[in-house]
Amino acid sequence: MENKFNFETNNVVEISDVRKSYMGFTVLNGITLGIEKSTITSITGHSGSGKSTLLRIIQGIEKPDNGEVKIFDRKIDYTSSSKVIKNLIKQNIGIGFQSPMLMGNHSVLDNVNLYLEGKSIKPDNLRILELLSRFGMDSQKKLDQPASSLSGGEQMRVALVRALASEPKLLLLDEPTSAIDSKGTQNVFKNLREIVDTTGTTIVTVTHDFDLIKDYTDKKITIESGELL
Amino acid sequence: MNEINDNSKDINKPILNELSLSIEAERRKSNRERLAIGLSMAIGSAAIAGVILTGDASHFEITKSMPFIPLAQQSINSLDGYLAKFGEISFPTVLGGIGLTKIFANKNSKLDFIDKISSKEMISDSARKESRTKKILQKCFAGKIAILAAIGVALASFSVSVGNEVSNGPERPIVALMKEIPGNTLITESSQAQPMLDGQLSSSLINRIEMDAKEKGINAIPFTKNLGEITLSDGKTYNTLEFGFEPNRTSKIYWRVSEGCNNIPVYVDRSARIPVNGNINIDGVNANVVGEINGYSAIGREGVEMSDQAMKDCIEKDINAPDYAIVLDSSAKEAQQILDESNINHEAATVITKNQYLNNSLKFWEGNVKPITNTMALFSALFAFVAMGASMAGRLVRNKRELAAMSASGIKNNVIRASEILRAAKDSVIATISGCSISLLTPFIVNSIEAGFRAGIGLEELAVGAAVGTIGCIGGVIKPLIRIKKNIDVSENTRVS
Ligand SMILES: Nc1ncnc2c1ncn2[C@@H]1O[C@H](COP(=O)(O)OP(=O)(O)OP(=O)(O)O)[C@@H](O)[C@H]1O
Ligand SMILES: [Mg+2]
Repeated sequence: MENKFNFETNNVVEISDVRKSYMGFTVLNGITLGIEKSTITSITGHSGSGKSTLLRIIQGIEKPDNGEVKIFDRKIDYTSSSKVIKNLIKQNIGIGFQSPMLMGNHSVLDNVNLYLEGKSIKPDNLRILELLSRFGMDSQKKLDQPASSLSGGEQMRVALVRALASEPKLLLLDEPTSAIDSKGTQNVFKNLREIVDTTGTTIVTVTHDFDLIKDYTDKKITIESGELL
Repeated sequence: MNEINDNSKDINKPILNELSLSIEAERRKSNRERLAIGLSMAIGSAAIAGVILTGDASHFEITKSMPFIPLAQQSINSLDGYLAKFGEISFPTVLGGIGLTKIFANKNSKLDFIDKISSKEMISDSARKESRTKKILQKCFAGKIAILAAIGVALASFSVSVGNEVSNGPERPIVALMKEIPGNTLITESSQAQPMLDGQLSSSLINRIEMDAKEKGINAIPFTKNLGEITLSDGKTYNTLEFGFEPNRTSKIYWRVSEGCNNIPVYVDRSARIPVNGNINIDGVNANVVGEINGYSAIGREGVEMSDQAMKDCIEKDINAPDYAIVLDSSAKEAQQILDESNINHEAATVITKNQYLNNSLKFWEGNVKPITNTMALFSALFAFVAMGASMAGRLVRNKRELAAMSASGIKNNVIRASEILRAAKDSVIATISGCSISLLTPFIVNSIEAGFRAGIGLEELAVGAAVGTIGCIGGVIKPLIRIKKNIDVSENTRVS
C-alpha cells in the first residue's frame, strides 16, 4: 500500500536523482542510490563534498531541491510538516549527528533514557547498560556524570548508544567515530557489525577513514563533485 | 585510570546486572522522593486554594467598582483586583499541575521526560559540582531561582500594597475614632462629607437636634474636627487629625485650652515613635506623652487621644461655635425625621451613615491616588513580563541545538513544548515564592520611612505577585513555543557546530 511502510522490503532506502544546492552552489547534482537491508553502507568523500547533506536528506532534516527519497518503500514527503517522517524516525530510525548533541547538564544515562521516554518508550536499564558497555562506557562513575564532563570521543559513544537505544530498523550516522582513535574506531564498527548481523538492522554511515572500517562494511559510496563515483 | 573498554568480549554480565540493579534501586528511590514532593505540591496547592476560597469574601470588599469614573481610569483602578483574582487561581493551579506531573511521572515515560528535562538547563553552566540547594531545586523545580521573575513578582505585589495603603490607610484613624462614638447615623453638612473636606452645622441646629433626640430617647453626640499639627521638642512636626467629642455629655464647641493648663496628658500613636514622657506641642499647646495608642494613624497624619479627665481639666468649649457633625444612635429614617423637625432655618444638612462617610474618604483617596499607584503596578508588571519573557525566550535560544536534536530524533514538538512549559511553570512557582518572600519584607522598609504608613502584604498583594509570576514566566515562553518550528530551525541547528 502506498501509505504504509514496508519493513520487510530489501530496499530500505531508495534515492533517485536527488539534487541540492545552497545559494547557487550545487552540492548534490543528481544522486541515485539504493541501500539494502541488513547492510552497512559508508558514505565517503572529501570534506565539503556533501556527505552530511546527503545523509541529512535521508534523515528528513534537509529537503532536496529535486528528486525523491523512499524509505521502507514509502516516499518521504518533505512538505507536509513532516509528521509521517517524524513518526517513522520516532519508532524506527536512529539518528546520529556529526557532533554529539548531548544535553550537557544531564547525566550519560539520562541522555540515553530521556530520549527513549520522550518517544514514549520505557527504557530497559540492562539493555542500555549492555549497549553502553559494548561501546566502552561502562564505568558507573561516568554514567552519573553530566555529559559535558566527558571527552569528545566519549560523547560520540554516548550519542551512538542514544541512536541505537530504540532498536531502530535503520541507523543513519554521521561520522560516529570522528573523535575516536583508530583502534577505538575499529572496535565501534566491529560492534556495529555484530548488531547488524544479529538484529538485521541497516546502517548508513558517513566516514572519513574508510580504510579503518572497510572490513566491517558491505558497500562504499563516494561523492565527488556532487555525483557518485 | 578510566581505560575505555572497546572489546565486546570483555562485557562482564554479572557486573552489569549488579549495576543495573543499583541503577534501578536509585531510580526507585528518586521516584519515591518525587512522589512525595509531588504529593506535597498537590496538597499544598489544594490548601492554598482552600485558604483563598475561604478568604474570598473579605477580599472582595476592597476592590469596589466606581461607575462614575471614566472607563480607562476604572480599568486601571480595578487592575489589581483582576490580577489578584487571576493569581489566586493560577498559583495553586500551576503548583498542583507540577505536583500531578511528578506524581504520574513515575508511571508514565512521557511525563518522566517532561519532568526531568525541565528540571535543569540542558547546556552545562560552568559549575561542575552541584550544590545541595541546587540539587533540591532540581528535584522540586527547575534547578535555579528565576531572579528577574522574582523581582517582577516582588515589585508588583509591593506596588499594589502601597496602592492599597495609600487609598485605604486614611480610613484607619476614622474607623478607630468613629468606633468611640456610639451610633451609626451622622448628620453632616453634605452627603459627600469626609475628613479631608471641611463642613459645619450651626450651634442652633445642633442644639435643636440634641433636644429632639433626647425627647425620643436617642443618644446624640456632636463632634468637631480639626486638621492640626504636633511639634516635637526637636522641632520636627507631624500633621494631626483631631476629633473633639465628649462621650458622656452633650456639648458643642470649638475646643479651647483652659487657663493655666499647659501640659495636657496625651496618648500618641506609636507610629510617631515619640517616647512616653516626651514633651510635645499640639497646635501651640504643650503636652506630655503619657502612653501609646495603636491604629490611629494614616500616612503622615498621627492620631492623638486624651482622656475624658484631661479634656475636662484642660479644655474649654465655646458654646456658640459650630460643630462638624453629630452622631445619632438611631436609624437613618429616625435621624431624617429629627433633622426635618430641627432644621427650621433650612441650613445645608443631610443624613448619612458612618459607612458612607468612610466610603467617601476611600473614594476620595482611591480616585486621587489609586490610578497613580496602579499605573505604577502596571508598569512594574509590564517590566516583569518583558524581562521574564525575554529571559524565557533566551533560554529557548540557548537550548535550541539540544531541542533541535530532539526534534530531529523523532521526539514530538508537543512533548518538547510541554517540557518547556513545565520548566516555565516551575520557574513561575519558585519566582512567586521568592518574589513574595521579598515583598513580605518591603512593608517594613516603607513603613519605617514614612510615619503613619502601614503598607501590608496580604492575600491580594501576594496574589497579584503570583499573577505576574505566572503570566511573565509561562506567557513569556508560550509565544516562542507556538512558533517552535520557526524558532528552533532543526536543519540549521543540527549542523556541525
Ligand atoms: N545550510 C547550509 N547553508 C549553506 N551551505 C551549506 C549548508 N549545508 C551545507 N552547506 C555546504 O554544502 C557543502 C557540503 O556540506 P556537507 O556538510 O554536506 O559536507 P561534508 O561532506 O559532510 O563535509 P565534512 O566531511 O567536512 O563534514 C559545504 O560546502 C557546505 O558549506
Ligand atoms: Mg559532514
